[in-house]
Amino acid sequence: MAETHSLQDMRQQAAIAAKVFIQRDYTNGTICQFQTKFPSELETRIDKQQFEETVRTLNNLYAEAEKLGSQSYIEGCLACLTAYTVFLCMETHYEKVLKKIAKYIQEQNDKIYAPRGLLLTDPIERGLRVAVEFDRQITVQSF
Amino acid sequence: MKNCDYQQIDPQALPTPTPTPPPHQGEPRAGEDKPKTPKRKWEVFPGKNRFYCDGRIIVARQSGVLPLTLGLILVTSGLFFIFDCPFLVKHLTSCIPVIGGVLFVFVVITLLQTSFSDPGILPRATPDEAADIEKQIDQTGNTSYRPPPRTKEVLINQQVVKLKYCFTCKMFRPPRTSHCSLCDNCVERFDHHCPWVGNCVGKRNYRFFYTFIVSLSFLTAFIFGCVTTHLALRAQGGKGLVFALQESPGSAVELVICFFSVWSILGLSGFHTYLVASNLTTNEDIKGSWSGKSGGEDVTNPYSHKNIFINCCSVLCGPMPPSLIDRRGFLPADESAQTGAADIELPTLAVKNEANVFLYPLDTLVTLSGAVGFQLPAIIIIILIIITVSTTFVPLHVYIHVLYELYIYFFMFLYIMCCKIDLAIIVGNLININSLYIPSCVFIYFTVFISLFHSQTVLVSIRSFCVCGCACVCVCVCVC
Repeated sequence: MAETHSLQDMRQQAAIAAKVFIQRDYTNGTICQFQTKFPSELETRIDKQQFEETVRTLNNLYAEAEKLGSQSYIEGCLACLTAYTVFLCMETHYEKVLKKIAKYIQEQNDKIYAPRGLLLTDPIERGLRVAVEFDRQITVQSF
Repeated sequence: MKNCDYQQIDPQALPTPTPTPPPHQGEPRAGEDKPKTPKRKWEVFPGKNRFYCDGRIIVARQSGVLPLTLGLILVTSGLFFIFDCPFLVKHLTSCIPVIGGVLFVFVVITLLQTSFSDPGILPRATPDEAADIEKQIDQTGNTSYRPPPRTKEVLINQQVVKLKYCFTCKMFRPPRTSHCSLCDNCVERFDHHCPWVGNCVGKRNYRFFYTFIVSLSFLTAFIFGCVTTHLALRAQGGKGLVFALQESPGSAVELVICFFSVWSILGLSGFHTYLVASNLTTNEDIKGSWSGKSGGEDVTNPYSHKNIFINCCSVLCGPMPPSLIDRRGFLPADESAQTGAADIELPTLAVKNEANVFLYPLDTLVTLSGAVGFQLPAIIIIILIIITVSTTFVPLHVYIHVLYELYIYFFMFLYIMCCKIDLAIIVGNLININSLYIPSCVFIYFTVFISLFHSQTVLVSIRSFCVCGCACVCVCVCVC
């Protein structure tokens, strides 16, 4: 009982200390952008430039996904003409960019963050609200 | 909103709604691997929605008056095709059932899409995220009773916007997001909860909703006009309106339904056109958030692009955001055990989506139906019904031509669907003589040639070119 209690304590502490949330930045409206402010918990773990570079690239990729350009208009008009049934068959531009983003995050994790014991989760898994970085070295429980 | 039992999240005592504490885990199962299939995320969804077809279809808990809406549309259109079309085709032109059919198909498809798609529901905050937000707000460590409502102010395009904290979803709502109490979800760009459609109208399904009401107003006006013309033609020659109504009783029903609904639907379309042009939501318009009623100072809509055309394009033709709730994803194995069963409704239509079943057309259709859900077969059935109904009133050569066009559409859909599955396999299969693609491409070109050479008028051959053009655009858009 005492052992369980202290494991739970450690797990709780680990869970709190180890997750850093990068929130959304709404200054440009409702488009998906993340705050580039460098969180203080990561000061010892990673270079500030590197972090800002990652977040800035992510912001650019999301901006590209939501860009109102000619391709999205063509897609939208085509969809409207076919009563939106074309969405059943075709992968939208947004989904293609999301795949690119997933690949980029994977690549960043492999090259930069995993060697330092950090992990960047894909924001789409959290409803495009936060990007989560957490420290895998502190969480020691194996269940 | 039921937030009277709100408790402040104490960082020292993490709530654990889903993960299993260690002593409990060993009990219900023998080994590590669960004998049952893992649960999908829709089964543990916390909002008040119902899911069908293994998570592909999402509706609100109360379906509202959706059956009534669908019933009225089907009954009115059915009466129109049965009673008015034969007479009008004989006396006027055969375009009338075709136009009516196209409008009807548009209305039904967009209605089903509005009702059954995810309006832009935001998933609730995970416990870690909620605790982090709490930590950021409550630095003072306030205690047990409910704290004052929390807001955060952000500056959007030089306009101060207040973000409210949602006690149910435990997060700060993004701008333009609102919590729908009927569905118990936060919905992005929340417009309103429509009982006629039985679902919320939000960011992802607003364009379906708008197309639905616009095409419904065209359909209602069209039917109203045709019925009036029909009765007027019948009543000619001094026979009188009563005689006309006796000869065609269905028209009377249609006249009443259309007369009472056309004004409200046209009004609603006009209102939503205004909202689209100024990039507003119904919610914002009703509350007067940007019209300067609440504040004394100059408030303008920060989301508007200040240009009507760009506003319309961004709302209706903008990129389609993906669903954030991932209904058909599987839960991680350790979370599946705890959750109570949600409503598991109709049996699933899921068919395993193997990549290499293109050799057999019937298998392909079954596989594709499994991949896209029930919608593709339903659309095909609707199209076939329309053809069957309209062939009674349409000359044979026009019928054959319409059939060819529909075949072309169908095969293009198949082709594009296969593009979505795996482009590499398609390229490989194109040079494989046993594949479906070469016969289908040959069939498409063959039918195009037949329809071009056998067409009765230049207009029809121009239409064939347009169909092929559309098909090529489809392929280009999806491949690049």
